Amino acid sequence: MITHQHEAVIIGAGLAGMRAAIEVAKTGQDCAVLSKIFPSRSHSSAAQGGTGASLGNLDDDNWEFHMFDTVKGSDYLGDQDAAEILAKEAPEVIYELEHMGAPFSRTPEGKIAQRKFGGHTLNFGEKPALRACYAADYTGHVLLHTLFEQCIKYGIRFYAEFQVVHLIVKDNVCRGVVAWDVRHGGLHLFRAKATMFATGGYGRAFRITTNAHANTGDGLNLVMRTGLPLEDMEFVQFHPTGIYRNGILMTEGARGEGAYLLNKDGERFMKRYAPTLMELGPRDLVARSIQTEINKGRGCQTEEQKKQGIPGDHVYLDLTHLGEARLREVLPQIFELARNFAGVDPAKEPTPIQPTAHYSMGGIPVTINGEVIYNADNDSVRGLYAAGECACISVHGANRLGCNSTLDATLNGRRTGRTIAKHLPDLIYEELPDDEPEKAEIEMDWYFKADGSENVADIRNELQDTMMQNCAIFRKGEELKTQLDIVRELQERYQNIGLQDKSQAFNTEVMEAMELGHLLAFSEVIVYGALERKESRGAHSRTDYPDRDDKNWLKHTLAYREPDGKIRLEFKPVVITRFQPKERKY
Amino acid sequence: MKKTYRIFRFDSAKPKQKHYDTFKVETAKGETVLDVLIEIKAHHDGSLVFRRSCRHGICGSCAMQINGLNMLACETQVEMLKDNTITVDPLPGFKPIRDLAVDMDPFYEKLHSILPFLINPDSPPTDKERLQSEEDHRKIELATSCILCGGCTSSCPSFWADKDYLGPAALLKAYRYVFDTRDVGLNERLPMLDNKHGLWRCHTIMNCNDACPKHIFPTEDISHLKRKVVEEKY
Amino acid sequence: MERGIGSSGAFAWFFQRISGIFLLLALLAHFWVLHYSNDGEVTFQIVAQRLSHPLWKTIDLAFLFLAIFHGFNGFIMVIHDYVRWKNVRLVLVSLVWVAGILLGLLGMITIITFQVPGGGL
Repeated sequence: MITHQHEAVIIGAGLAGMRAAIEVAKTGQDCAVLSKIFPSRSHSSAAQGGTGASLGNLDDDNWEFHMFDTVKGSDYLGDQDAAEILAKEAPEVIYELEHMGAPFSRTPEGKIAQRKFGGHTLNFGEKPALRACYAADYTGHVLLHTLFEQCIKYGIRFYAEFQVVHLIVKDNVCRGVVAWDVRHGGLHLFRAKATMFATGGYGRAFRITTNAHANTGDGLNLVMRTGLPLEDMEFVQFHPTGIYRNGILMTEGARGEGAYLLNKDGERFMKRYAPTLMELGPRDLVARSIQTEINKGRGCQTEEQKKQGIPGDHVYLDLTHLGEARLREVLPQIFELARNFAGVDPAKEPTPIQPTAHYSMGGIPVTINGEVIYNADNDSVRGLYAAGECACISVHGANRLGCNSTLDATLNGRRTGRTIAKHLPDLIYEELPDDEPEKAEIEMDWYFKADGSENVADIRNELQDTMMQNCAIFRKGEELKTQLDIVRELQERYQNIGLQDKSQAFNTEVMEAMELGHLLAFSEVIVYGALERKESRGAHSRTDYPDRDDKNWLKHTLAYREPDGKIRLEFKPVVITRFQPKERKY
Repeated sequence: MKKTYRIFRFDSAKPKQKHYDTFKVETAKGETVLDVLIEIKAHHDGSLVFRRSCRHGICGSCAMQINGLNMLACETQVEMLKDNTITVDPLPGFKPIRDLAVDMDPFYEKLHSILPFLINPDSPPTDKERLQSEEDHRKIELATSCILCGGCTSSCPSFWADKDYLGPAALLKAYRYVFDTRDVGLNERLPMLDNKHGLWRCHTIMNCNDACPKHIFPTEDISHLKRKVVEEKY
Repeated sequence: MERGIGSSGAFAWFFQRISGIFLLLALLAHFWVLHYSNDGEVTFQIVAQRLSHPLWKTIDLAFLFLAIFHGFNGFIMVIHDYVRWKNVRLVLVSLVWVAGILLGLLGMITIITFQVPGGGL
């Protein structure tokens, strides 16, 4: 095993990871970034519509409105200290990105252009706010590349195509990670004073998802395996508008620019569910509305479905009234995606869409400074940090608002980077427990020797299909119980997988098997949390418990995996400062 | 729809055993070459190696040569390819590692060499953005949508001839910064651009324009750069 | 990567265009002078007389050098693009240089020393 030593090791090279790396490098301290894919391939690049900040370039916006919308959007589960920081620091973070060179679209006066986004309002819910700072409809892409280029400027060391296999935490002190060099094969031990996870989300647990193949939530399970908890895992956001059948994202910015949602009767059905904001309601509400329309038989049908008399299973996103010129200017990617993946010309006909698994509100619990905590009292693990989608700070609570994720990743990535830079002088290279690095060797050995009868892709498909059926937008106790059994059965079958590829170099079959292991492990936590949370809040909607229950459930869940493999839940209170929970109407 | 796929197989550990494997795969309407590769890996040959991630043309992982043209596998629908036999090769011009995965390190090194970040010693205004007109933004807008897939550089005959040539992708990135009104770093980038293996290697062959999955025209932007450098020098 | 050794290629690129424009204009002028200026009458005597004039000698020298530069610079670019082996490339480029210089010298001698047979106007 080759040993490396870096003061700070950051795992994941998306917006959060690279933003943190810059902050550490700025102070002249040594920082390395590990990523299982090249940094410019990270899924942050798929963020489309914009990044929220109350710059007020086009209206009278201020941070309090932004904070209120975030808290209300979270269905009051979001911690308000974190939401306040998010809303307050957002303009500074955006200006900083602009100063780094991010090529934002511009207003006629040459300022950063801003557009409407779901759930973002002026004056505490009065009317939609122009808050999402955008670069056409590939905002995430330009931000990711800007940060990547800044990392080049600061000479940050990247270990690209390194898959972390094992995290070394003992006695609530983090000591480093062991990673597999995908390209050449071989394990590398990274000793670090500070280790940070920025490994993104886990949409790949679901069949229909906007997420990349890489989004298998590896970081979550790596952390959980060391005995640390995961927070609020039951909250999985479904984005209302994914391209029918493959789930590819059609940005909320499309509705921000004025697109309609239509059912099979050509009716703008959102008037029934969010009379004020219409299509610009928050994502959980819009996704549920679409699903309700479909469930009530008002979904649109394909030609095939019409012929066979099968009820429709999607609705339309109608962009035709915006005109081709406007579409090409402000939504060029959407224009291409609709043509390439839905086979429609969005300027001439509506695009068939369906809700699609998009964002994980839950994750590794952290303090507002990005330190990973190990209990409900906010006690933190020494030398371990997390930010971005893999972390749960929790600013998004039960439902994240659109354009708050790229903001969360850059803003809290920056904060966490600063925390690390501040802590580093007081941290040391902790001693390694004797048996720890070897655990990674044993694990890799297991994959290379796996010659059972089960197929990795089949187990993965079954997991994704059943999660979609039983643990998606609307959930029900019985279905969740069934799903919990299914996941556990799949975990058992996983023990008997067979792999053909025995080469060390560039063995993506082993990587996929490892990712499946992670998917199976945290999917159990999602289902378990969903089963336990007997209420409907934000993205978690139980048909058998249709109301929000603030008396019993205004609290975060912390899920631990016990040494015997069972899951145990603890609870953590929600931080409430400015805004008391109220009924949530749009 | 059932088609035959001829896929380049290679292992840098056994470079002499390179060959093509043939698979017959059934696809539904709308399925892409990437879907086919995933299906082959899942149920035909688990050892097939290729890079993929976002599967909708924004991460730039899956650029490869499909029937002789550089494309993103994820954006290429099987039914759009007329032939019944589809040949899939790694990106030409780069060193293959395994099957369809190539060594992208030199590609990234070139990108690094042209200083791909905003250079401007003046401190920016506090608590607001640097202003830039819509028109000025539009000059670089298309160039900023580059996903670094490598399709352009890999299609460039000048690059095939001179592996040290910066190539269209790195030059496009240079254009993106040199023509950004907020940047003043041309002189610092000049040694890399105005160089035997730099700008002047571009002979406007325009393969890069055809290869770009984002519909950028690197040749045009490189020409703007050439003019700018000549103005600067003479 | 070797960088910045020898000329960058900027001058060659730029001058290829300048010489190209000159050649285009010069060819048009040549065509006009030869076929239209004397009602299209082309005799050895007329051409010889023109070539003995110092202004025409200068124009023809420029024509010669720029044409040689343009053609042989193009050759060198083609060699750089299509010849992968370094040694072969070196040999070919050297040959182009030698040929260019020889042709230039030959042309130069011809133009400068040319005199109208019979000694004068």
